[in-house]
Amino acid sequence: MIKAIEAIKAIPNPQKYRYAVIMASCTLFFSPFLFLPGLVDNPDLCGKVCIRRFYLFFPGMSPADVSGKMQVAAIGVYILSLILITTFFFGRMWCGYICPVGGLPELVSRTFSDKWKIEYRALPQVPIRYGYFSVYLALMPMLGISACTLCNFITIPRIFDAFSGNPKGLAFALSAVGLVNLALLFLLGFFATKGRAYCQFLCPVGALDGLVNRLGAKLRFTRRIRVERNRCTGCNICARNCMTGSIKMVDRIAVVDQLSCMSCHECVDVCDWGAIDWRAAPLDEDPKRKKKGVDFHPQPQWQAVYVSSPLSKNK
Amino acid sequence: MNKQYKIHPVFMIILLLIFMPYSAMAKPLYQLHVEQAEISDQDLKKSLKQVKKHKKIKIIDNLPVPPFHKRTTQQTTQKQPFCLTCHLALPHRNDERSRTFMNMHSRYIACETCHFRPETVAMTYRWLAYDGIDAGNVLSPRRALENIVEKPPETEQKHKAQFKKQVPLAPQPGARISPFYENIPVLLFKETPFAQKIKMEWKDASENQRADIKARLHAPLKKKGPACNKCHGKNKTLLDLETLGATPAQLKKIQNNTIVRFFERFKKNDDRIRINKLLQ
Amino acid sequence: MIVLFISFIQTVNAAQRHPDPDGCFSCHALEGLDYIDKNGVLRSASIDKQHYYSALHGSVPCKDCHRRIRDYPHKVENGEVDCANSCHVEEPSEGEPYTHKAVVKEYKDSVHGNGWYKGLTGGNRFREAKEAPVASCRFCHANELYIREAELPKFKEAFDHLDSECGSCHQGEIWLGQFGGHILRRFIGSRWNKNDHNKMCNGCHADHERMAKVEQKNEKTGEKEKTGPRFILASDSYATTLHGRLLETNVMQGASCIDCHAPKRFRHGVLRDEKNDASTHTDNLAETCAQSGCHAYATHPLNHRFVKTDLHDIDMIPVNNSIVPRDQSRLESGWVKALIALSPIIVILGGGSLLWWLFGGKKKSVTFSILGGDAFQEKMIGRKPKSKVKKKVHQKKKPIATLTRKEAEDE
Repeated sequence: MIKAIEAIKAIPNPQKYRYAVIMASCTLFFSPFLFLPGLVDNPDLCGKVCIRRFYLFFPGMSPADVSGKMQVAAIGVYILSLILITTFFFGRMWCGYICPVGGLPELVSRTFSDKWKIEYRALPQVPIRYGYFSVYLALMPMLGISACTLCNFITIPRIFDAFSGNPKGLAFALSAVGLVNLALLFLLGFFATKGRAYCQFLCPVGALDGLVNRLGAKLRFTRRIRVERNRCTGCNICARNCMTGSIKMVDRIAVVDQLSCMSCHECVDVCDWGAIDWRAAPLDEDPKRKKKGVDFHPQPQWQAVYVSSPLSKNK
Repeated sequence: MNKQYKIHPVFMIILLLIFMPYSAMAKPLYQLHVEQAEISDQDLKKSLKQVKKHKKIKIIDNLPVPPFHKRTTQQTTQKQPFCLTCHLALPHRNDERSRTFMNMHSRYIACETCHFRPETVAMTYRWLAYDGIDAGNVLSPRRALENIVEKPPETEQKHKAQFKKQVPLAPQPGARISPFYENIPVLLFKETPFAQKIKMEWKDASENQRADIKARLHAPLKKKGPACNKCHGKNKTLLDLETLGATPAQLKKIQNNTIVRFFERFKKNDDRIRINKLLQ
Repeated sequence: MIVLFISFIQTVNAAQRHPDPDGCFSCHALEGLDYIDKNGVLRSASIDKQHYYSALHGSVPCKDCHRRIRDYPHKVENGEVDCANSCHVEEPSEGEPYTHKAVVKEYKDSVHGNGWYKGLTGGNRFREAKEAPVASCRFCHANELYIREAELPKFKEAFDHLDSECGSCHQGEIWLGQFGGHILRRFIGSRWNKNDHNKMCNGCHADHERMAKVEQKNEKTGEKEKTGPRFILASDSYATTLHGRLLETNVMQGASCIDCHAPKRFRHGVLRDEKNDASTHTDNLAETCAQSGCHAYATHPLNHRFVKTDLHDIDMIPVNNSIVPRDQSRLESGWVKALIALSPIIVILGGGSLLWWLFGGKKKSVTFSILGGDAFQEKMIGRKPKSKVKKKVHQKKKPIATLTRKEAEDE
């Protein structure tokens, strides 16, 4: 008990804030309150609020078909647009702070021991994620594999349903499909280091979000997790604590992969050197004239993007 | 000093009323008849046979196969007559020809009006409320309450007249024509002490005792009601429809009822007659 | 509302409304003609006249359906109704007496073909409820209002514009009178929406006990055998699909039962999947899915697997179902096999976590996971994990001065 309290005390304040937002989000989205789905008369996160279905590709689709799909999932389209626009300017706020479907496994996972976990962060995330995403977008529809297969947006709400007495939850949890989804929730959620393996590999919303994140990262005014290369000492504490495994030490300097970073701010909290922060890049402030006799230290260059370079070696 | 002990007369009347023996209050005529009933052995045997044969009817209301035509709603009243302790609210079942019509009449004519007609007694017939705040009380007939001037149907458009709801004879929904003897309704409602007593007796009774109760209850009653023209006819009718509030137009309609004329042609119980003879 | 409607219909002479040539309503319009029959069923001979004349069969005189009623009291068998009869109402375009014969034929050729379509009386509702194997005509269809009360405002508005909109081309008064109401009634939309379809089908198909009793003829052996869990739980498995879930939340783009199983003609022709004509036969599925307003791309050759998506997947139904006895076939599903493969890892990790919770463990400053922790350290952090660093064994040489005589001699 005391251990638990000490562990909680050790959490940096911004992280406590993030956990609180995730927990609040769980109560808003899930049973028994279902506050947000209830606003649009939906009993769960499926149907017209689904954010992962309307962009599936079928050969022979016409624009009318696309607009038809978007009409059915109109609210979902609206929500996804909101998420992507926010991501463009502020980083993956939805994934890191709000999404209850990703946030809940993360929180649960953090209560487990770090040793008895599966480490997914070393896997080549980008190829796996976007490989699965293209299969999801194009191949699965053609093969007749429903977009609802392996969907975490139904698995976790149904667990809450089950505990709130809604029979739909129990029915799903006890079905063959439900049990497998539950198993994946354990393997990719609770028993994954930092709990975000599902988000990083199997979530199409996450994949889209990552693309938008990367798109906006080069622009200097967008807020992203950026590394000040001159300050980084290569102590690798940020890489060890990164929730999504998007920080890699290249030539002993941290670089952040913006396709995977969720702007969760944890790296910022643990870096003692102030070398990593969630910020917009400062505007170029090279003056045309310098005062005589004044020494200018090198301007900080907060870099956001990881570009895979064949010259960098991993020791 | 005398004045101190003088009891005010009103006080005395109140005291008398409180302590007046209960049995001195007038009983409904039916109750009197039941209490004084003399049952023959034959009646008792018949009654015992009926008690033994009796099977409870389970009413099936909601069949998965719905009725094709839309139905009119069932009538339920606040106060229920004593008869309904055992009999169904739609009591007529066996006579194919008249059961529906008789059940229809039970909506505005009380059971005892047709089935309790002792020869020696003259009863008056008035509207009795079965619903609403005056449930259990006599009602004034409709014409006395309202000043309705009936427009003759010819002045209105023909098709509208077809659907115009006729002003009913009953002064309020659920009211029924009931016999009165000396200003007391002849029958009792289910809540009266006598009715409750019979119900209790029946519950704990053996078959023979039940046969006895049944025979006594039905001794003053007639199984078959009066002929149609006893109310629908012009002379020597059972009910004085004008006193009950019928306008001349309504009276004419009731007395010249086609269905009654049609029924008069039936000679035997299992007769079937061509419907187009109705037109003749 | 109904009176309003009737006053409108005054101007529409489609068919002679309010016909009662045999005077049936002289008795049947009376209120309260009820009785309890020998089965205990509440029967009523009262027919709401106003409702009848505003209903679908409002132009049909009583005897067009109850053909042989002649006497009173009515003989029960004379009142039998045969839905395939024709009646005196003339269908406006052809002038032929109207009949439901084509619908009845479609119904008789369908899987529900041995249902009752004739010999229907008020009295045998009870027997039908007990004995009839499948839905009869009247199980689903009753004499409803011609225009549903909820749609009256829409109809009224359309009717108000009849002269200006339709009449601008169709100028004949008589034509307008004959066809106006008929077409407008269909113009304002179908009387039944998709949720009504589902409700109707589920009336029987969601009743598991009833479905468990159904026997189907095996096409190969010709024998009747009981159906399997796929049939019995069809209603439940549909409800877990997107189509079912959309309709439940009143998003009308979902497909109802009839949209897939009987989309054409009179929509009574549900056939078994194995029959070549069935809309759900594998060869016809593409066309069914591609029907108007649905998945237009379904006929594209690359989508032939999409079209075969299982919409009655019983893997979505709880495994241990008390209604259907535990079926070996359900355990052969790929999902169950995947579960068996994944469980050991979960057990190991779960067990480890549990022990860690209970018994604590040394809190190291940095802990790496047992599965994959080494790879992480190598790839992401760029250093060798501790376990792989070879421990150099230092053999300290003792200074000569401390050696014993023997040891020095050895050296």
